[in-house]
Amino acid sequence: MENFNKPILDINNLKTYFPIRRGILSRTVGYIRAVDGVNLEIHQGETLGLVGESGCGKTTLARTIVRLDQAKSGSILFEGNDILTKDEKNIRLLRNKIQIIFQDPFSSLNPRMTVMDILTEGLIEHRVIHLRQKKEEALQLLNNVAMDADALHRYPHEFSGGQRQRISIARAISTKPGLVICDEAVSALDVSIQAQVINLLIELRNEHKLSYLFISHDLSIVSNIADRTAVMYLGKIVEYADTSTIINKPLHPYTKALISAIPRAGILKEKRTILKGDVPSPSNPPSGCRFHPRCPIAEKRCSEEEPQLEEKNKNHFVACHLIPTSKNSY
Amino acid sequence: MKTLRILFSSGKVVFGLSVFLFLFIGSITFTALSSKDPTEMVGNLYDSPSKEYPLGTDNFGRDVLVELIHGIKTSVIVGLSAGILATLIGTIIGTIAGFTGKWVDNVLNSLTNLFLVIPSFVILVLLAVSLQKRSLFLVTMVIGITSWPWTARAVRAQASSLKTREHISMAKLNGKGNLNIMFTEVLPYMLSYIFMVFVIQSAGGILNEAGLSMLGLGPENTISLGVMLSWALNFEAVRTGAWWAFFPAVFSIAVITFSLYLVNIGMDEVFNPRLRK
Repeated sequence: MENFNKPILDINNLKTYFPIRRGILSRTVGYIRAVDGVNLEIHQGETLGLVGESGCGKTTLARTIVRLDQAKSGSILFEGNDILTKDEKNIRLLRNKIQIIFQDPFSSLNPRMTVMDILTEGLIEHRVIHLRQKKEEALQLLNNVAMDADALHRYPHEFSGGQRQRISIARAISTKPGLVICDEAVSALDVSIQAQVINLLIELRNEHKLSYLFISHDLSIVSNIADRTAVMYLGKIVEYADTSTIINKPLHPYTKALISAIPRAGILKEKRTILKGDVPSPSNPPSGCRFHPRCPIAEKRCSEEEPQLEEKNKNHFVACHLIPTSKNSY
Repeated sequence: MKTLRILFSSGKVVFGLSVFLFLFIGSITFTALSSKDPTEMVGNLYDSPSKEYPLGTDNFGRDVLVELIHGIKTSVIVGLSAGILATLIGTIIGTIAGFTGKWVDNVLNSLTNLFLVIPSFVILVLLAVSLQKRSLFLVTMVIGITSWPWTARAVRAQASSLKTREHISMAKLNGKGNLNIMFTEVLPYMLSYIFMVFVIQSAGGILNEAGLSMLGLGPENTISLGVMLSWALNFEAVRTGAWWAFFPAVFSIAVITFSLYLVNIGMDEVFNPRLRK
């Protein structure tokens, strides 16, 4: 593992709840706890993978970091400044430092703008470049993502999914951000294209010293790019360690189930841990450990007491009562 | 350009638009070129159609055909202007409500609902009665101001669904202001829809004007299709069998609104591929 110094992004006990409103007076009758007390750190130049089933709050976490969704409590420090306490005016200045790549390259690019306009929208809005430099800058960005110059005056619908995602990536790095959030950035693509795009992301990371928050439901993709990986379940982080540790020595039963779901040659189907049921509703999470109704090793204690994220081994955080803390970790 | 080409590939659009434009441009050209005064009395009470006056004369002995052409021009202008006004107000309120959301949406939506549940024709009548002098301009305003809620509601629904698109999140992240996003990312998507709404609103405007005028609450000192109907009604044209005094006006209203509805249906088929055959 490389030596990372100060965190570029530091998330502390972040909670994002969506109110459920009922009746003519729109009374709040409950909350959907999409993100419920998340702590994460991303260091300069590091890629943090975030995996979890759909509906576990990954996207909400991403949208909260860029302030598209409003956090209920907690703090997000970006380069030492709390993002959540900033007002609209200050947040605009910050926005070009954190960029996001969405999953669907078909809806995230405005179909009525040319590629040149899409790529330079942020730069022009923030008055980083003059209108005269627009073409030059857009060409440079296209070059970064290995696309031809003739794409400049074309519209998004003229491109394939992979090409569009390259355009999204070029757009994301246009403002020279410190952090790029990839929200299922390759999930909508073909497997062969996924590899290309991931390689492109790795290249750009090394070239521009970017940090990534790489969100995916697919642990095998995350393992290709992430230095460290966090596993999320129903709004909470359940395990958090180096990617190689997560893949090779997972501790949390949920992570084990996710890993056994990765298709691999030579492993018999019977050996896999198949999880029963679906993710419970985040508006009414199970008591105690949120995973206990689906957990193959759950005990009575699990339904009563909520486990905290603890450092079970060195740099290996797990939220589970049944995993013993290793003695030689300190 | 491409949209226009697709639009004109629809027979309904082409036919409806041709009929509408023929009547509208024809009436404008005629009134501009011809020196015939529609208020000049050329015959007696309800002269039946003759060679000289193809549609006969009305209760004041005036040439119905000349009146009709002037009436078409006035009615269409009132309809289009009221349509523009209603579409404009409705689009502004609907876009702001749908895109901004939160309390702004609540307030604007309540206002829209309030206008929707009050029968607009009653407001129209009350407003028209309370006005001292009813010029053509005022009647147009009254119609436009009472018919926007429907547009507002439809546009609001569109805008609030558009606002969840990712490219709008993207624009926000790029630091674009709300007004800027509304103009560059939301409105362009609704243009075809808004234009369709405008067509319907114009047809509605023509009908509203006719209704108001028939009740005797239309514009003063002007001839419109509704005003012609009002005269025919007051002077017992139906009972005396003088069909030429009211039928041409009724027929014109029907043809004009029908042509506009046809344009609307054709556009709907073009923009909504599921309706295509």
